[in-house]
Amino acid sequence: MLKISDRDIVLQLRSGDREKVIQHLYQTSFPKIRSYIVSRGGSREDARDVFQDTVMVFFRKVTEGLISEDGMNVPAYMMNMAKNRWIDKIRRDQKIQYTDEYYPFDDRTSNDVEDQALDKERSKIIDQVLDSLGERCSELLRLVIFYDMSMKEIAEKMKFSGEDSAKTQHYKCRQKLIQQYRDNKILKELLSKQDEH
Amino acid sequence: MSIELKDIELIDRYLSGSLDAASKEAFTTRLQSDASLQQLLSDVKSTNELVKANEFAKVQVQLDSFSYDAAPWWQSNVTKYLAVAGVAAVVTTAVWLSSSDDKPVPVKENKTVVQPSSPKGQQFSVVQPEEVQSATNTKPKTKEQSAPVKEDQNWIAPSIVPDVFVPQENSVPVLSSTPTGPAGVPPQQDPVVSSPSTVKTKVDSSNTPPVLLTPEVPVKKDFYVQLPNQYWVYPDYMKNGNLHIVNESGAVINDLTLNGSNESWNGADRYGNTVPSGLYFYKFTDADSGKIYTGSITVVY
Repeated sequence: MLKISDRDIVLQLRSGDREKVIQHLYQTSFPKIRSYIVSRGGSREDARDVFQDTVMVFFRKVTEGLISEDGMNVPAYMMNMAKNRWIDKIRRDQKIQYTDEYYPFDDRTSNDVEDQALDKERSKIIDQVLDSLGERCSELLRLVIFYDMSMKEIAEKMKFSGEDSAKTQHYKCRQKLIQQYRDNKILKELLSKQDEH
Repeated sequence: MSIELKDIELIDRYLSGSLDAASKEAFTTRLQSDASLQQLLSDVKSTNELVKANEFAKVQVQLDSFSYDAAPWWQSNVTKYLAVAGVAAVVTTAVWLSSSDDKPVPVKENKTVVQPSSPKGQQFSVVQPEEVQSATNTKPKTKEQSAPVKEDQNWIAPSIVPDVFVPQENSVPVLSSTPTGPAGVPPQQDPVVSSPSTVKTKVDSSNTPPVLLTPEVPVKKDFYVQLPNQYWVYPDYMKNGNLHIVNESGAVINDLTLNGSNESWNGADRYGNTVPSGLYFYKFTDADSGKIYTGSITVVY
């Protein structure tokens, strides 16, 4: 089993190295969350939904800089977040009269992340668009736009000769992406449908 | 419509709030009159959202790839299979133990090598078939070694005829037979060796060297109990320890703790009810030596 410290979980998520971290969260937090939910009348599917939702919120909070790596207890944070989301779900579904109180933990102000997630069709098209830019360009845009990394950090991570080189490359990639976007009518239609929805 | 890199950078800084007041004022002024800049601002926002959404989608894909249906280890099929295999192994072992040696008369498939120890056939000792073969070249064992076996015979029900009998004197040739005679009496049928380790054949007594084998204290022993008048009197080596009795299905019949004062099992299960006729298996764990004794108990009424 992967073992990553709580501090490294936050730092790695923030730097875009999420694969191992999410695997780690699945191995460590999911069994506890499943046990909690199943013991309270939930199904395994409920446990899966709550866990995925919890990870997504945690992921977003970390990448938005809302969670500090200092003094972070990730298992407890994940568990409390999952409990609250489960209580939310129970009350929303009104399956049973739930007496549990929310845990003293503020995690419910975030919008549902799943609303931001793309359906498969759009995701496939976006993948095609980003792939057409090239792997390096795609990675660069991901680090700048999603992870909000500085050019200095990106230059080190992606082994550019310097910040200026990274910055120039970044804007060239942005330029290509916008051009691809403008040329891709299908994608624009899909996005416009989403906006209408 | 061309896309200027400097405009992308300007929009980036505008969106991130890093423009100073003067630059921001200039940008908003230009934005109001420049349609291409308005379009570029819109496209930058849209593509930024695309990249972000795509990253979330990838996380979702990774989350979906996990096996959420896997049951906890105690509910997994593998665990169930192992449990079933374990039970099957225990039952198989118990059955094997009960049929491998020291079987009472009614079990005809037992492999036996019988040899009278006296003209009247009153004294027998038990030996494994393999031991019979090796015994042809072994010296007679001491009296001390054979003592426990003799004691065991004392509390075996009279109707029991052990699987393998070995004479107490080495001058008597080895015979083999399927015992069908009365209890304690060597059978008179044609001698036959029937064993996994010995080919079924008649033994020529003239060519078989004399054998005298007295096994050590048996760790596997079968008993026969005629309820309700006859209890299973524990052998001497079952003094202090735990006696575990199960039925043919492996269900626990009784768990008894012997402390030296117990002498016999009256056929009662853990609830005090007398068990029905049948074959039962026991395991006795000696509290002092840790040695384990196993075997069967045939209960009839």
